[in-house]
Order: sequence, then C-alpha cells, then structure tokens
Amino acid sequence: MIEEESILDNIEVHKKFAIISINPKLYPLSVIYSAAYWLLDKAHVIIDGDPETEILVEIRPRVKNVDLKELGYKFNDELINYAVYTVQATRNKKLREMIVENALSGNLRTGPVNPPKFDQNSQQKNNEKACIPCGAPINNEADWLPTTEDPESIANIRPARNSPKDFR
Amino acid sequence: MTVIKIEKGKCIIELNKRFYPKPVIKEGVESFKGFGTIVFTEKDKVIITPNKTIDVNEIGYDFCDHLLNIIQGGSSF
Repeated sequence: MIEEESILDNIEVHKKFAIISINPKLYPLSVIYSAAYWLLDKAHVIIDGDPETEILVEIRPRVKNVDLKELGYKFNDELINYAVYTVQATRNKKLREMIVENALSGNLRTGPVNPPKFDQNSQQKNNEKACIPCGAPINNEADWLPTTEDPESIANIRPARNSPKDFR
Repeated sequence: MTVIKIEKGKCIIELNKRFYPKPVIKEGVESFKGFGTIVFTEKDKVIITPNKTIDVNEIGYDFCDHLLNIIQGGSSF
C-alpha cells in the first residue's frame, strides 16, 4: 500500500527545522503561545507570520536525529489540547466564579465559629440557668458540668442518676 | 518578520513585533544581560555579543525561547 501525504498537512520539513502553518481563525494566538511553550523543552520555537491570515511556527529541535514531522504532529495535537481546554474553561467560568464566591463568603462570617476560651466561661454562666434542649431550669449548680468541648452546651451533660429521687 | 543572523561574532535578531511586543523584548533584554552584551536598538533589533563560553549560533534561539517564556508568565533565567 502506498502511503499518501495528507492534503491537510500543515508541516513543512526542512533539513534542520520545520515550519508549521496555522490558521488563526481556528486557533487563537493564546492557544498557539501555549502549545509553543509546551514544546520549548524539546525544541527552539519562533513565531512569525501574520496574526490575521497565517501564523508560522518554526521549530528547531534541541537534539539531533529528531523526527521533525512527528514533532510537528505533536505540536498540532497540543494545539487541539489547549483549544479544548480554553473552550471548557470559558464554559465553566461562571461556575468557577460561583464556587470561589461561596468559598470566600464562608470565610467572611461576622461572628466567630468557635468562640475563644475567655468567652466560653461567660457563655456557660449565661447558659447554666436553663437546659438548652428542654428548657427546664437547672437549680443545682453541682448538676451542671461545664465542658470546654461543648461551649454551646448542646450535649447538656449531667451526672448519672443513682436513685429514684434523682429522676423527679 | 523574525530573522536571526550571525555577523562577526554577534547575533542579530529582528523580531516580529506582532508576536513579540516591545515590553516583552525589553524585559527579555534586561534578564539576558548575564549572557553577554545585549542591546535593543532604535530599529527594534536585538544585538547580542555572547560571552566566550556561549555558542553564538544558539543564543538567538535561546533568546526567542526566553521571550516566549515571559509571554507565558514564567521565567527560566
């Protein structure tokens, strides 16, 4: 079978370098810069041409015996890669902004989530008059076991009841 | 049009301004001073006379790579 050259081929191979021709209507300049930057560790890259009609990218491998055509194809792949990334990033822009906005507004609460220790004592004194879950008054202060792990007194820990009198 | 020429041990680079903006070239020139004498002329040419240890045939391409690096927001030098 005879191997055919693609009619869509945009790679012109020379002895030491290759020139890739890009249609700027298909790939924006930012995408071309990104793909060129990706190629920098493998080849020297120079961008030339006309940003309105045809952009030319010269690639010159840093080491000898590199398949220039293959390198050109890799560059083409990266163009598609970055173009897809750009399209996706544009589509998700609003969603990303909303996530960041929500995350930031969560950090801007006016009151402290966990009050500092010096506040806990005063808070316990305010709470010790009533049982938070049921609202029943707490008369005996010995029954009240303040704990620093429960500053809002949600658990309302009481000592174990040993006699029927304790249940009244 | 971007052209890299070697003349009398100097590397002369004419950059396509539509892809390499002037502020980027100026930043590149500033950060490339350690590699030799580098001048950005009024005719927008960059002339590099590299230090003896640096290959004059390579420095022009390295400079263009460096500019691309600046455009993309990083710096390897």
